[in-house]
Amino acid sequence: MPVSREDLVKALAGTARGDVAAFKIVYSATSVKLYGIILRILGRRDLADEILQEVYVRVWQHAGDFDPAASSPITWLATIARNRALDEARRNTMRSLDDVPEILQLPSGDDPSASHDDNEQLRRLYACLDGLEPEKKEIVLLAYYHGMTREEIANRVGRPVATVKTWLRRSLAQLKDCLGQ
Amino acid sequence: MTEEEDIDGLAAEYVLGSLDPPERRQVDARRSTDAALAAAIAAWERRLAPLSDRGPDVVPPSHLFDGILSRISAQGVHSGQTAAVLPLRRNSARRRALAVGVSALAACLALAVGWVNYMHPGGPLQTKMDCSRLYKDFWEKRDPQKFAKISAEQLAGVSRMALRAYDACEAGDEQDAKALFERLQRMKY
Repeated sequence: MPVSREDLVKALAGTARGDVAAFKIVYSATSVKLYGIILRILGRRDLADEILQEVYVRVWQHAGDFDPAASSPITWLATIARNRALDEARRNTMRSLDDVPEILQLPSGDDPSASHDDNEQLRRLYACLDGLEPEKKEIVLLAYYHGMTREEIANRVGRPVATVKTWLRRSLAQLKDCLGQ
Repeated sequence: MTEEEDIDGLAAEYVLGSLDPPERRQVDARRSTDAALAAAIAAWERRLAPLSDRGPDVVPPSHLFDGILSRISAQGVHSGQTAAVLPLRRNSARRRALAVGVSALAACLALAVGWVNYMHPGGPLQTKMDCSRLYKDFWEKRDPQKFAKISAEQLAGVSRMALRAYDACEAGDEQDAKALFERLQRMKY
C-alpha cells in the first residue's frame, strides 16, 4: 500500500516508542524497496533474507535516531540497508551476482514508475548521470546498485583497477558539480 | 590533489560502495572521529539517495517479518521504549513482572502501549475501533499466571497470531479474527 512520507515519519516515531503496529506499517511500506537494494548488492537470497531481518531489528532499535529534518524516511532506511549489505558483501566473498540474473539489469533513467516525492531530485540526478560517458555512467551504477568494488568492476569491464578508480573519482566529482550541491 | 578533494572522493566512493574491504574498514573507523569525512559522507548519501528509489522492488519472503518479531521479542525492548511501558506496569503487581522476565513483559506491554498509540484519534494511523479494541482486550485480559511461564520464542508466536487476528479483523473477517483470539485465550504454554 502506498504510504505518504508524513505517515512514514509518524510510523517511525511510533516505532521509536515501541509501537509494533507502527513498526509493521514501516515494514509493509518499505521492505520491498530495502529487499531489492540488499538483494542487488548481495546477489544471494539466503544472505539477503538474513540481512533484511537484521536491518529491521536495527530499525526497531534505532528508530529514535531518525531525524525528519535531516533526511526522508526512505533515505534513512535505504542507507541502513545499503551499509549493512555492503559490509556483508565485503565480508562474504562467496557472493555471485549471477545467482539472481533478473536483478543485474541496471535501472534506466526513463523508467516512468517512480512516483515519489523525490522524483524531481531523481530526474536531476539522472540528467547529470547522462552527462557522463556511457562507460563511466555504467561503472558508477554498477558500484551503487551492486556494491561492486573497483576490482570487481575492473574484471567486469576489462579495464585496469587504477583506471576504474580514476574514472570513478572523476565521474563523481563531475556529478557533484552538475548537481551543484 | 588537495586534502579536501581526497576526502570528498573517499567519501563518495564509500557511499557508492566501490572501496575494497580494508579501505571500507578504515573509513568506518575514521568517520566517527573525523567530522569533515562524516559530513562528506552524509552529503554523498543525500546526493545519491534518489538512485535507491529507482531500483526494482523485490517482495521478500513472507516469513521474514515473523523472524524479525521473534528477534525483537527475544531481545526485549530498548531503553527508550521501557519508559513508555512503565505506566501500565503499575497495576499489574511488581512481583509478577519479576516472574515474567523483563523482556517478555516489556514486549507484551510494548504491544499494548503500541495499540493505544495506534488508536490515538486524529492520526493517520487510526484504524477501525472494534479491531483495535479486540486486540487491546486480548493483551489486557491475558492471564498473567499463564504468561509468567512463557518463553520469548512463544511470546513472539503469540504476538504474531494476535497480529494475524487483527489483520483478519481489519480485512473484514471478524469471525476469523474472534476465532483466532479465542484460540489464543485457550492456548496452553
